[in-house]
Amino acid sequence: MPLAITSSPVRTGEIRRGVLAFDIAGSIPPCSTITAVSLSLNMSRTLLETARIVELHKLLADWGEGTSDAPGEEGDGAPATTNDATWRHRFFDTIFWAMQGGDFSAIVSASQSAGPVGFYTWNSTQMVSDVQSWLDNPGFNFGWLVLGDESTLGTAKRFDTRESASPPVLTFEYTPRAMPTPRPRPTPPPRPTS
Amino acid sequence: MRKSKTLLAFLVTAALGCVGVRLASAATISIFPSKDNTLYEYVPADGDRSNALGNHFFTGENR
Repeated sequence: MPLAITSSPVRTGEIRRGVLAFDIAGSIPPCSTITAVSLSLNMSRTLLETARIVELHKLLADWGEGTSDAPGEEGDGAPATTNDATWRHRFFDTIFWAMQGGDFSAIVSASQSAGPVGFYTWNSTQMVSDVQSWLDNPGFNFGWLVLGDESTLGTAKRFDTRESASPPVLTFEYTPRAMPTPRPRPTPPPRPTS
Repeated sequence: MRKSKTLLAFLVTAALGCVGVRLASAATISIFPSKDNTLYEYVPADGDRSNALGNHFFTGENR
């Protein structure tokens, strides 16, 4: 009986994941109520124009930016520098993610189908909840991980960063906490004169 | 008698202060990220890669 010759699929692709964070508490008054949120990203390069789902997931741990600066089209990155976030590190090369590839919530904060080059917008009630939580608890504001389609090769999408001419933009509506009007001070009773 | 009048004035003033609130109106703001980066899947031959200062971040799988 001839042996069946099988070959396991050889993956030659490498996964990339984006991470980005916004200073919510430093942008609006505390105790405000967030009512709507949208994130706009410019997708500036793609291997194929096939539409792929791109999801936002709330990050569960802090991470850093060092001074790495990838050359060319930037698809291969650059050697990590001190405090850079990498696949393995939250802060290179001393603090690691609990899970390689980033510690993020399984809950999808929002998803969007991205095909050809262009601007795409994400919005959802979960994003409103995320931003509200970051306003109320700034110490837990680690931003979102941007998760693309990792099911097959050739799904990579390139988005522009804050260093580019078309940076990500987070737009949100909020209602500041109602402020009490100044209270009139009671007039003290006249002092009896002796 | 003077004490009770003072107390009454205080209570009325306090009540008015709690009722009177300035109406807060909704606002919209747009902000840029405070930081962003790419996590490049670790390949031992390439070492740890990153792109803190780059103009782009990436998602999905290449090639």
